[in-house]
Amino acid sequence: MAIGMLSVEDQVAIEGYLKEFLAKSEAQWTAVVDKGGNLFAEMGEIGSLDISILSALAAGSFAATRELAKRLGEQEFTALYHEGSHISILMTALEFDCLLITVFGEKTNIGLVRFYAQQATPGLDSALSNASETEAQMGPLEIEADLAPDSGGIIR
Amino acid sequence: MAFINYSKREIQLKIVYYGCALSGKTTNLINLHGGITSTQKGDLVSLATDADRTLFFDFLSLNTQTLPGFDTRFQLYTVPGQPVYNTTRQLVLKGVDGIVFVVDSQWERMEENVESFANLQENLIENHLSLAQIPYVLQYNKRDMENVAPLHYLEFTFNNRANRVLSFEGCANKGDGVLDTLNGVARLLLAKYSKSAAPVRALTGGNKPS
Amino acid sequence: MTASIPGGTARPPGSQPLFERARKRVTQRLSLAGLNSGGVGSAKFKIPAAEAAPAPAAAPAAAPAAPAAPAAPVPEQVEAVLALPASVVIPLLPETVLLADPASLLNSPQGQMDFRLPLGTVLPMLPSGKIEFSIGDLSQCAPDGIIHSVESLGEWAAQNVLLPLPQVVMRIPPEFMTLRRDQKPIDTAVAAMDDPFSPEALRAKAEAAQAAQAELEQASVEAAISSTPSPAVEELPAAATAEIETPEPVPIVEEVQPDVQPEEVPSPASAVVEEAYEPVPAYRPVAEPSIPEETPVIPEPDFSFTQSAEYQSLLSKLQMAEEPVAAAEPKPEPEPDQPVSIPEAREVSPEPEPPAPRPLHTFSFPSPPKPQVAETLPERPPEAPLPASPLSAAVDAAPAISGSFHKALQGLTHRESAEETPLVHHSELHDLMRLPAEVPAGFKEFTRQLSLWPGMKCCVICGPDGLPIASAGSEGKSGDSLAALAPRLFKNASNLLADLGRTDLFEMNFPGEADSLTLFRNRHFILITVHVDEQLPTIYRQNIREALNLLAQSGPG
Repeated sequence: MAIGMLSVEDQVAIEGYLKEFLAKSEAQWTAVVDKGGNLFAEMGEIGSLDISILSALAAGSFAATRELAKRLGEQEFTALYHEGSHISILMTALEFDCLLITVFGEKTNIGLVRFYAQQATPGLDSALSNASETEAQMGPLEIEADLAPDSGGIIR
Repeated sequence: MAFINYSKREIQLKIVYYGCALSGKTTNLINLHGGITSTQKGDLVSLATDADRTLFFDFLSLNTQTLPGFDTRFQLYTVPGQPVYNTTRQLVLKGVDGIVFVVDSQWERMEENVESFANLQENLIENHLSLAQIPYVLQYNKRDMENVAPLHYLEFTFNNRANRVLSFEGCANKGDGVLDTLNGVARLLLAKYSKSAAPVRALTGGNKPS
Repeated sequence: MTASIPGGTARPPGSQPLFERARKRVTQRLSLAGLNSGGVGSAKFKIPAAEAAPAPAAAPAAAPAAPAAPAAPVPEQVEAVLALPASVVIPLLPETVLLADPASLLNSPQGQMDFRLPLGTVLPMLPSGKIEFSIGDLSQCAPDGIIHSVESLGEWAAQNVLLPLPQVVMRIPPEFMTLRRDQKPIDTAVAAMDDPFSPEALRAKAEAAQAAQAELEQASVEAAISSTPSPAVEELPAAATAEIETPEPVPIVEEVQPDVQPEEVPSPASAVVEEAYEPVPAYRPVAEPSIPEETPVIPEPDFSFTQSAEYQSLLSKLQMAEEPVAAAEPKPEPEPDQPVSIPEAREVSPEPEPPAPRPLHTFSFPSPPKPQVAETLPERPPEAPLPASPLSAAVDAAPAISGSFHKALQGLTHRESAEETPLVHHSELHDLMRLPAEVPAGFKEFTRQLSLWPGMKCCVICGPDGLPIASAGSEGKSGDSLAALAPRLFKNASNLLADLGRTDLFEMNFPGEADSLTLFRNRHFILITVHVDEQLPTIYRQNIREALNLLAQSGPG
């Protein structure tokens, strides 16, 4: 079941795990996104890359291999690793239809990143579980104020 | 599904442009990307073949601050229209909040339009959704072509369900109707969060009810 | 703004006369409620065959009945018919089902007549986007003399023909294509809402964002110059903060730039702010040097003693001919921080007076013995045979160890001389591992054999990327973590040792209480061994290094 809301406390908790993971793995950037491409939290430096695009492509990349996994008898791959000449990316499946995306360079190696990603997974899963419980207790978002007025609305 | 980040005060909504092959889904996004100022949009990502046929999806992120106190990020996706990519369409529909169904108004594409609409309903069911739950609008595209069906026939064919939906004429390659269509579906999604009589719970988001 | 679809008809110019006879004869309103109950694409509305069959006959029968309509109720058997010209249908039919060739039929009077399609059959097909009739049904709708009778069509009767959709639709009055009565209308609140993406609103927002960004940059530059650096975001007006979508501003004070001269500092007022989206401050103030906590502050050595006479005499005694050290210039003092000539700059503490030169130490120590330099190099003693492994007795006593390993260890420990003909590498590895010739001497076999050596608990071999290649032993489950961390261990140790001028690190040993680790590295692989003793025997270590090199040369398998 996907998570539809993220409170401040839950995001801070997720960011805490990401910060620790980033420091240990010496990766460049890491984020938790859901498989629909929504960005939950991120940590690190990604330069001028559009994070929303990165999240959408990573989620799409994960989804694209689901059929391949099924053909191989797997429900879904738990991790995907794309290696580049200088920059690589590791995507690890989490609970609640989420992914841990990690971008790293030559400063570290896949073994280390994968190792600490596996270590960070239980903590992130528990943080996502808390977020899911928080969402269940919170009501729907309702904004009392009027929507922002349009200044013209002329059809192009 | 909609994602609300109370920490960033951001709402993320996913809109999928659906329709048969070459109906103008990607053209809609290209036109939107070109027409909206840079502060409100990201890059347009297009995973396509060399022949400009969508292979996986197109993606465009647009921001607006219509909801007071929240930054609303619309993530626009298109699906590949060719029948062979049905699995991909199912994947892209995952977590959808709103749909724009693009109809190719030409007579010879009518059967494909209808099949695509039926396919949309099937794929929504695969994702445990239905058209009754997901807001959608219709865009009758390519109105500038010569051999196009009349609007009353298109309405009779596509807009004759239990709930009438917003429909728009369009010429996506010229930009006609593109922004109106987007505004239409955006209004449907934003209306969910605008309740003038409801208590303002959004401003205290993140606090668990005592 | 809602672009509504007009409810009226928009007939294209030049269209065929629509359906006039059928309109006069229609007295029964067809119920369209069943057409869309299942949504677009359903065709559940079907006229029973008993009604459909006499449709062509009912049409002419309805004509004489029509004059009586004003006086009496219209009979319910009348069915609406759509007239489709034969010239449209004939080219779509296979010649086999036609009574004559298509060209002659089109030129005949029959070619000018119409196919009479029951509207009740056509209308349910409209939502499917195609009009499809079987040839058998078409034969019943066709004028005489065009298609064979149904009885003589045989298998052709069930074949379907797609009729041109525009030709059919344009002959149906728009009032037959009305929307369902029970359809819920569009929510007027939604329809009346303002557009989130109007061009004017977007343009206004873009301009506001640019102005806010420029203010942000201006404020950040001013904040950087102030005595108490504070995050620039705190000085922003609340409205600008709400509008800006940029991420949190990067702290201004980041790094030391000692080469910034005071006269080169531009005035803050003239700082150039470039694009609003990606501003680049023209000036970054000199910040306090940030000394990492881990790096100790090494005091400058004092070489003034080299000027002393005692030192010179010592050099001569050691027969180390050295140029008399000229009056060397004293080592320059480290440059003090350049004071920043910016108004309200932070106060720079005055430079302390350089310390007075220390008095020269007078020291005396016994003369070192003169090294005995041999005239000729002594003969190299013959290489001593490899000592027997201290564990060989345990090997002999352990019956559970496989014979191949036993022989392998015997071979290792009882190598007689260095003059043995070196074997081909691949074969040598086989001999080393005592493996059958047909079994590839690969990583798995290597690690398996190693794990069987007395004192070994487990071993893992991995690549420099930290991914395990093979592992064996009692702690195989932790092999992944050992492999992941091993490259980092070597890298960190190598970095530290590089400061000591040692660059070649190929083995590390970590004694522990429960067990110990020894890591081996060559250019291609890293081997991690977990063993009971604090250190591996020398023979183990030598052979492991040799085996690793062999593996690197021969490759896996």
